[in-house]
Amino acid sequence: MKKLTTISDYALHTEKKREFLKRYGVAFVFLAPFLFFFLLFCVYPLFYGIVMSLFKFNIADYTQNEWRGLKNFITLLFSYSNTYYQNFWYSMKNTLWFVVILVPLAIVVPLVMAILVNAQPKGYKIFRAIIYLPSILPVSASGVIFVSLFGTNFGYLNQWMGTTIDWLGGVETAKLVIILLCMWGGWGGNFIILSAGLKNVNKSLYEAASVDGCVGFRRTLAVTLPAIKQQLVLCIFTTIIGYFGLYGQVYVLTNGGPNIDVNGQAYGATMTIMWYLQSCIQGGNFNVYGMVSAMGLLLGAFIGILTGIQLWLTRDKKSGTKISAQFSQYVAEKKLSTATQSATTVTVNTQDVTKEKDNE
Amino acid sequence: MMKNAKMFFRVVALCMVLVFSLSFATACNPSGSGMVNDLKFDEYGEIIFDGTELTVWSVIGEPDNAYLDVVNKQFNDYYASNGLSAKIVSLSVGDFYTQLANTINTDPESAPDVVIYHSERLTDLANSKIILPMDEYFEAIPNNDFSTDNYYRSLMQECMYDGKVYGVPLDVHGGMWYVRTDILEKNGLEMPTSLSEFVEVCNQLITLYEEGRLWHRAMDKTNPANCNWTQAKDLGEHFYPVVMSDEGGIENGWIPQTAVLQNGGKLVGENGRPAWNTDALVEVMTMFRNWQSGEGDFNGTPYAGKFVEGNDDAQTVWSKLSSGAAVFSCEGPWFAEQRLEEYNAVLGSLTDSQGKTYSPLGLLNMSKLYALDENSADASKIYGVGHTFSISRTVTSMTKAVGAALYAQYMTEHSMDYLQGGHLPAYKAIYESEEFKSQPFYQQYLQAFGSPENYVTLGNTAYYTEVYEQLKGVYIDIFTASKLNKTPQEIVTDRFNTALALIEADEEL
Amino acid sequence: MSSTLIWAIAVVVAILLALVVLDCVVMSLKKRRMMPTGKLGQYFSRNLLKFNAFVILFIFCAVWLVPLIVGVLGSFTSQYTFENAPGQLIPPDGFTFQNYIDLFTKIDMSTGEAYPIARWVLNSFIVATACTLFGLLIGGLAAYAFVFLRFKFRNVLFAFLLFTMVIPGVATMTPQLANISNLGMARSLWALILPSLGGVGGLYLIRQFFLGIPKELIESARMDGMSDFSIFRKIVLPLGKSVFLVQGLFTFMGSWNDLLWPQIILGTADKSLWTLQVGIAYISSSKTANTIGLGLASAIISAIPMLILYIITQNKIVEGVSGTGIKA
Repeated sequence: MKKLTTISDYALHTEKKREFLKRYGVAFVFLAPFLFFFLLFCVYPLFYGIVMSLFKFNIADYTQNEWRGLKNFITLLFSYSNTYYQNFWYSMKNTLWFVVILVPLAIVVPLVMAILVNAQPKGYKIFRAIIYLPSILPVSASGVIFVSLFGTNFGYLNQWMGTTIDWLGGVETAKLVIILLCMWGGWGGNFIILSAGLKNVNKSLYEAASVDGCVGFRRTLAVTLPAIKQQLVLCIFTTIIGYFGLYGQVYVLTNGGPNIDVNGQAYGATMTIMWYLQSCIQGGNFNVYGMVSAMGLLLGAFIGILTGIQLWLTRDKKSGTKISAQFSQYVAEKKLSTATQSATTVTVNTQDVTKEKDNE
Repeated sequence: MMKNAKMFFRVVALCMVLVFSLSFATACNPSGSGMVNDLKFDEYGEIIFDGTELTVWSVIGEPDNAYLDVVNKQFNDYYASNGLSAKIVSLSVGDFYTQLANTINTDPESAPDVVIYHSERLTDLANSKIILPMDEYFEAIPNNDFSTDNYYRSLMQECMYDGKVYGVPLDVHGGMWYVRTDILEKNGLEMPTSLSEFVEVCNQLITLYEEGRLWHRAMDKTNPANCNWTQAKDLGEHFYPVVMSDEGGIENGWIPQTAVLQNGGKLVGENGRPAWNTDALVEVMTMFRNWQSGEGDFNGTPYAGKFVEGNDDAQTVWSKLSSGAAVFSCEGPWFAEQRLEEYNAVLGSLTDSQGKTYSPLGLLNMSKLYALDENSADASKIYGVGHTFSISRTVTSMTKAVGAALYAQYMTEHSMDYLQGGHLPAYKAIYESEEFKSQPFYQQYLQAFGSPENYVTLGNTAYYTEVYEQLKGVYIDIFTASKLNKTPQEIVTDRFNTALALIEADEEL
Repeated sequence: MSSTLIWAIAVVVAILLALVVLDCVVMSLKKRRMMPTGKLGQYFSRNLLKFNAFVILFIFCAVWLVPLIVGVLGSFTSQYTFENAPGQLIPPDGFTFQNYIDLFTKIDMSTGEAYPIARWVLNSFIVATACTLFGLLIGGLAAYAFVFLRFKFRNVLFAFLLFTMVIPGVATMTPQLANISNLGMARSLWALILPSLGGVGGLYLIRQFFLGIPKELIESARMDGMSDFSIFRKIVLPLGKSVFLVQGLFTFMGSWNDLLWPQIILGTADKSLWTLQVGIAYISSSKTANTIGLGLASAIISAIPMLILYIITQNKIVEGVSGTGIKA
């Protein structure tokens, strides 16, 4: 039996459908081009990479691919004596070292510079332009410049100082040079974003602070930093991801770094994880691609966890009206209790009086 | 909210399954199709090529690729009437093999038909089925005279796989010592031809300098006044006759390998595993340590001082040679023509106070230079690297395959014009011909390379990187300042174990 | 240490110390309300921070520019100076264009002709411009959808987008290569343009900016009956000019400076397809081009177009980003 509906129900139903279509249709049209490219060029290779990591993947001859399941991951996580395990974790350690040193520097230095520029001394626009300038150079270009600066026998720096320090050949000095190169051209973006954020800080905040007697350095800590918190979080997030992928500077300056020895195994002292993955791919071993994908995924997971922790730590603590509600409740309770107390006292007093009166 | 989330996850899971299955499908894509026999013969019994054009990818870079193109043009002219031609594209070494593998699989139409590459990679490429065996294509050519005996044994051996011919060797070359022969001659010293003579010459150079009696001069292009002979001790406190270092020239790819071979060792053992951890290698490396410290002795005679200064890099390899601060410097043979010209132009006609001229630059190949026993049969072996021609598996037309085989044969048999870049031929008849010996480039520098018979290549191994790079690492470690506390034996053992561990990790993949 | 260097360091340290002393003096005078009232006193009491900033910025920028000066001067230095009189900023045998001449007249040995450098610049330009324009358009549309249109899974989808940013590019390089070849784009410039259009980086800044546009503006436009397209075109786009400029610059820069991906995709077979970075890297790394001067010249050449673009737009960058604000 056909279901009978009223006209109004029918109208409502079609209206809802049309509304739904209109809303989602529009959203779809707006999003479609982006999602198309995203699915095709980001998601598909990602899943393909996941699939690759489950195989022994031979890029020269697909018929030699063999199913391995999670074996690559297990090797990377547990096989102490396997070279891939050793190289992976050694370069992870190196990369972590770089990240721990570079990320704070790449946040604090641009922050300080942005604050200084924000004070708008004479010619601050020129200073701003100069500070951002090295960041637009490609890494290969700035790398070549640094190689000529830090060369052992003919480098500019050694000639100026009159020494023959082997900058790129010693372990500590090579790391130092890499850090210097990252510092020279690596935080321009952060500088721009933080500068913009500073410019947008409400001037009334500063005035309020100075009225309260909060000036100078304390003001920076207490007022300016929280005001640009959004930009800071964005900067930290992208900088961590960026420096985990440190590759170009290492490749141009030291190509893996001076050879050192750890427990009888030779490593490159400045080998970062990305550099290691690149060298595996270019090494001429055709079978290694599954393992490389597995390493990439592990790295991604690691970065994901780290940034997840970072985002959670710096989340906006939405307290809303909870605290003020609690406060008013507290006040109300306090009032009530004082009232009750005085009431009790009064009652007691009256009772006393009555008692006394009785006693008289 | 919960209902939305559930539906969302269902949709995502569905998409993932779709994508996964797509990826699986592509990942397990079987490759390679069979060869189609489309050979056509004309009335003379010759093969009709009918406009077959071969795409050739070559790993040979500047400046040799210009010379290779000359021979290529000769090939095109010769076979123009048959309709067969070839075009060479020169790729950079860095990602040659990766690009080759990727293109063959993902974009077969742009893949090459013929590949020219380093012959030490042949086993690897054959394992991965990138190249095809060539015997049957040679046999399909009527009246063809290709024979593996026409090529030097060691070089041909490296191009065999599974008993079949997988590549045709083109050339071989080794690292060369560039020597300031004018300094040697003026001081009454002879070019050394063996290890003991080398040490002797170096000792004498150092002693002469200490006594202030060493004649030397600089090769200064822009200032002829700096090129005068002088005996002054203006090169520093000490004289270091040899340039060797951990990151200087490329000698780490030639010297340790030669050292192993000249003392009867092998580079590759069974199953493609490394076999270079011989006692002789340790001895030679210990000798290099002594050359750095200036202590110890050679066959009973103490060293006159340090042979090697340390702290050299890619530029001091040439700058010390040109300033006269060193007499022996090792670099690739492809610089021979250029540098000889340069030195001769500046110093060739400059006379000393008695009006005598000296030939400023000479070449020394490594024969007998690291042999502890100069009289053994192996003493004159030199480690060499060669190039080879192979057919890629994307060739499915028999006509093309035969054309490619003919191309490989022609180019290697007529490589005379190419050798100018500093290579020795793999084809015996060329080396033994009078025409070759009378070529000006042969007489100027190629003669110094020695005979191809003495050259030994890496051998058949699928683990080229592990075997070769770790041996390079031994040399590098010996000269690395931060590893001075390790004995040569430890260094050799460590690097050897690293190579084995790498191979094991690869096999476990 | 060379004496000029010691003098330079001494001067800098002295200036910084003087600055610190001045700060202490002024601060203590302020505390005690004893600031002199003359012109100098007034200047310092109002602008102490600015003065400090100026001095520190000045010293910082002077040091900052040293590598760049070295690079530029070095590219005009001859190999002779490098080998025999190294470390001289002003070469004793004068400045020379030889490095640049070598770079531009190098003959490609395999074709016998010069390298098609102009072609490379054009290629780089095409790719970068296309990336920027398409990226801005597509990113803008998508950002609008994420901010102003309500649909299910909006936040979950965006979180997923962010999550994919985390996986390093190298793990997806080989699958991406296979992907591109299967699509038939392998040896064309499209392979450089299209993959970048799906990236989150181009979306994030724009979305942040849109979040700062007051919702009432959009709501009132909707109530006036404007369709979303016209809202996008007439209201949001003009407002967002500044962030589009900045994002456009970042995208252009990223695409121009990219070396790794074009090298892998374009292959070395057809040199006329190369971008400028790939070509310069090839020339300056060949065996016969082993001189520092050539390397520096190539570095400068590969950076010049970006420098020009930067000089043109640099004024607008920070102004643009902060104009209507990148807010939470």
